Amino acid sequence: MSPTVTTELRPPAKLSIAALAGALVLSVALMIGLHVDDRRLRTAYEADLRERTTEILAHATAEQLRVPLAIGDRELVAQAAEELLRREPRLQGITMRLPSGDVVQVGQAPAQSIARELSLVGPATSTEALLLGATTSSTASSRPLAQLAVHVGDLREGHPTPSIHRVTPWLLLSFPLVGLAGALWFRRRLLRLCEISSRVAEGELDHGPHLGGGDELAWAAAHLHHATAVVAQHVEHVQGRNAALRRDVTLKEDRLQRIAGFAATLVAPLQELDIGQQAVDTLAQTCDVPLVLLFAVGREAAGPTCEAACGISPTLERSNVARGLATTGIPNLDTIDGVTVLPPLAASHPWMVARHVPLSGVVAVPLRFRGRLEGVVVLARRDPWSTTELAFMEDLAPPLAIALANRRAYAASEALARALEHRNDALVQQKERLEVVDRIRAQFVANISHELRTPLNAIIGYTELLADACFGPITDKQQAALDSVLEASNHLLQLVNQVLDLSRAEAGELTTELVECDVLAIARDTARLLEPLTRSRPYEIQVLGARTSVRTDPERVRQILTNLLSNAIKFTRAGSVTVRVDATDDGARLVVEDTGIGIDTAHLELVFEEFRQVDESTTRTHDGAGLGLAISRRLAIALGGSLSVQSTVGQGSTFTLLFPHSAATPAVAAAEPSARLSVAS
Amino acid sequence: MAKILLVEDNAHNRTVFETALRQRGFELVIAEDGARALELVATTEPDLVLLDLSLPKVDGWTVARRIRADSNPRVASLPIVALTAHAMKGDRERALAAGCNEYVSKPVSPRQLARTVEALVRAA
Repeated sequence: MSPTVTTELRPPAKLSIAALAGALVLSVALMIGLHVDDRRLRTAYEADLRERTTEILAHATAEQLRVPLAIGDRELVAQAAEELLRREPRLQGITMRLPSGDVVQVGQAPAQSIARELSLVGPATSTEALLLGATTSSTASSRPLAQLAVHVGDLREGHPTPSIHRVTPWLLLSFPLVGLAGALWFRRRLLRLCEISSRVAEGELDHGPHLGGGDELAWAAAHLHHATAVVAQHVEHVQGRNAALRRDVTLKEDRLQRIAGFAATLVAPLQELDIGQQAVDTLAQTCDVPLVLLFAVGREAAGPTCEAACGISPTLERSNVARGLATTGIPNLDTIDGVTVLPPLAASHPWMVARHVPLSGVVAVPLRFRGRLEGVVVLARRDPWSTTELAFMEDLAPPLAIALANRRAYAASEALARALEHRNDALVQQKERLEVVDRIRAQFVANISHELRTPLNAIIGYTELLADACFGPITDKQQAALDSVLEASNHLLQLVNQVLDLSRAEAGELTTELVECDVLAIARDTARLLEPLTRSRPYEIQVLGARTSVRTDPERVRQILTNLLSNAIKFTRAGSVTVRVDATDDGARLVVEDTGIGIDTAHLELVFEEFRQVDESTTRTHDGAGLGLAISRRLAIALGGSLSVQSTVGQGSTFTLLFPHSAATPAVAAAEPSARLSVAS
Repeated sequence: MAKILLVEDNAHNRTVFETALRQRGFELVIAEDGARALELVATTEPDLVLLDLSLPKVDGWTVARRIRADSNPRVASLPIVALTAHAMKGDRERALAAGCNEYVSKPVSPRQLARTVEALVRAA
């Protein structure tokens, strides 16, 4: 992973441009400086020249005039010529022809007629000659015309010349050139250095290019080179380690692949219970082992059993295999932990039957899952096992252990499921039987009811007809007897109804029909209906209390109250029987109080049990099947209320019926399907 | 006086009901099974039917349904009193569903029965 190198392909030229600009600025500055200096030198030279010319002119004769003049200095030439003209009155004008071809004219222009050629005198050096022309006056004077000779000054002679003029352009040109060359050279080396670092960045670490020379850039390059060498060393080291890791990973991958392949054979469908043989075969193939045995440890401590084997003689008895395990030298199975190397198998070992190659590399691999020993695999081969191979075995163990555990769990759950299924079947059958029994019972109850009612109808009917004298007049004694028959019949009818109610209650079919009603009115009605019972008693039923409106089932309340009052009257020969009605927070309370024989505290709760009277002796004294209170309590519960009793023997009993205002939950009725009695027709 | 068809298979009960009703001046037609009852309904034109439900040949519920389904509107609208010893939960409903106007469970006091019949006849 080399970091991204963001190097511009075209390097910037800022420094080069700056160097060049600097050189230019320097040149311009130098040029200005030289120019100023030149002007100063020139001024000084001119003053000096003028002074010398003046001096020369003061002492010079016309014949010999030598003027050191600079070539091409037109002004000076003109100045000198004027001075000459002023000093030599014979001269009327001077005409000079400069080497450059220019003509300088001072004074009168020479007349055409009398122009005299002036000959060039003196050492006329090259083209730097000054031609001085002279004219004679047009008027013929007595004075002979002087021949004027003019010497040409030698420039190199005796006078400073601003030769710097000639040097300056080259010098000025050389500065930017040198600057440019220097900048280019520096730039080139810098680029080279950059190239080196780029190549290093690209990973060229072994034979990095060098930057020659002894300058700073070369020094930097040397340092870069050194760093590169160090990095290369590190890279080599890391690559070595990577290679080792890769080898390691490849090895592990190979092992994983083998383990995965092995595990795959274990993920057979659970109902295939011979995964053991598959595992053993695969193990023999995967590890290239001639002898593999799998011993499973059952839940019963009967010792390990040979589950599957590969490479063992098929004729070998199972018992021999198991015996072989005992003589193999496996330590205690309970304590075996991790892959254990066992001593070589002796030639006399049961597993060595019909085997010629000795087996020296013997290992036992315990198969543990969640701490439980599921089995042991024994592998035997000719060569001993290496540490790596043992580690590999260690890795192979868990999947096989899990497979064995799974199989065991599956078998257990199968057994459990079968047991549950059986139990379920039994329960279903039982339920069906019970349903049949229930139907038969309901049918029986219905039939009994029907068959009891039919003769009762005849008995009551005939008795009533007799009593009403439909079959002729009757005596008072007969009348009394018929009344007794009627009473007994009604009692029998009540009993039949009670038995039916009880049967319904037991089937969970007591239903209630809730309406808004006045409990006091119910109590009064019931007391009036039971009046015949108190005819033989020296008291009447007293009904006390205020109007109490409650939402409940009036028929059920009436039924309970009838039971309670009948009992009270039955057990109270003298004294009083009182019904009290009053409202409670959430409903009503009906209290039936008598001054009868009372009930022993020990028997208080028994009175609510079916077919119980307090004791045998009373059963004989007082008629009744002992169903009334049992049904009454069930009815009270069906109304969402309760029925309780307090009593003192010899003083009387007090039954308290409590029922809520809104017995909206027909608790008992909801308990069972309603199919029972509709079947019973 | 009104004519009553009494359908009852039990001889004792038949006698009781017959005696009680005749004593109060009702005219009675007696049937001992359902089939006979259906014949008599058509031939004797009773004003009311006292119908036991458990009957030989044709049961009382069927008798009630057939009467209600009769093409003769006078027959179809006959008052029917179910008079039965079936006194379990749902029996009243089943009797009424079959077409009975009243349901009286046995045992019944002859006086009570006579009062019920008189009230129904008056209403009709």
